[in-house]
Amino acid sequence: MTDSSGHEEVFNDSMLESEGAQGEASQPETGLETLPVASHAQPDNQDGTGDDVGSERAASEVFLDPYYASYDDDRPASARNLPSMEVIIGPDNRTRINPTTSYPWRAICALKIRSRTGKNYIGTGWFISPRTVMTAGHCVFLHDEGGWAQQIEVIPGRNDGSSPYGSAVSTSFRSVTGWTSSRNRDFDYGCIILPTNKRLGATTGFFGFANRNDATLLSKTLNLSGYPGDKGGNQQWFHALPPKSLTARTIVYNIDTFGGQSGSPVWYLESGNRYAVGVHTNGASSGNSATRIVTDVYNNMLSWKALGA
Amino acid sequence: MSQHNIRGTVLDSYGRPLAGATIAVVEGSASFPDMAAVTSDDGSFSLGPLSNGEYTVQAFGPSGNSAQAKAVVRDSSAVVRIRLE
Repeated sequence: MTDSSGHEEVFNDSMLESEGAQGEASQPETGLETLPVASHAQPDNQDGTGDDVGSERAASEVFLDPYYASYDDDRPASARNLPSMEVIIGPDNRTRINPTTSYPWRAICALKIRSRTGKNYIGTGWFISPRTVMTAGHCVFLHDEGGWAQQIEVIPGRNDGSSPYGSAVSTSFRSVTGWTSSRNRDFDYGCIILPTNKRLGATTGFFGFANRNDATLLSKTLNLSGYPGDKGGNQQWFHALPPKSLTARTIVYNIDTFGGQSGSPVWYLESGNRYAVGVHTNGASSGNSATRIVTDVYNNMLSWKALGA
Repeated sequence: MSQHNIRGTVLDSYGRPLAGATIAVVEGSASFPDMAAVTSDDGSFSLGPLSNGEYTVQAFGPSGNSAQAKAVVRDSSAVVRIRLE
């Protein structure tokens, strides 16, 4: 897919640093999420046409201004200027998110995926606009199960038997030829576009996202939350750690995940703003990993965001 | 790079195909997609795409019981059968 944004904004790292200094917090922050109080131990497209959307931009090192959307911050005013505090407690590295009705947790969705061969799968997605849900490429295009998914049910903030924001079934998907044609892990990302009458992300809020350079990513604690299959695929579980390593197009970490969390957002928290920097896709004993949001990924996400506005 | 699947069937403690079980790769000598499959009415599932290597899959039944199986993907899909006790 050619760059449909029409214009690429490029900011160098020094500008990012200066912007950060202007708004520095008055207290040191850990960059870790505050969990809900009740938590305990935590272009390619398918609209019937199948036209591929290719990712053709080289992985050049550019630094884009953070684009974020923090929606309906429902913390009390006295808390909004406070840094986020670490509250993961206990021996289990994962923490359940319960309830799921606060931001950002409610913007993360359980996915019930049905392939064209009739197989069913569990995945995770997250809103970047009222009707655009980011996820892994292999959640929307299943190479050995008929290609494009037959349908995906999106359930924001799913919590056991509860669907607090309802659900939506979609047959409209996007990915890139790096995944759909080449099966290249570095291009394993895609999205789901909800029907026009299902603007669920307008209620839940949606994630911002950013392209960050290596030094910035390595300095952050990364948060990951999704719907693991060992918990039935209906409970949201969370873990956070700094990255282990980076490649040009992936982020590797020892954050605990389980099958079903494919598509989970990987984000960091800074001064109350959340920046997704990757889409979780793979497990491995050497480190789980995400498709990294680099220039072409960012641009495709901008286009997909607009589709679901 | 050659990629294939792990296919198979999940059975209940009586040896009958179990629908609605969740199964995923939990360990492997290579990276694997972190998506979970849900068994069909005939207890069948498919997980992939996977590079050649050795993998461990784990199935979870509705009652919370689970079992694991080893699978080797080597230039073709691996087939496993998992019985939940």
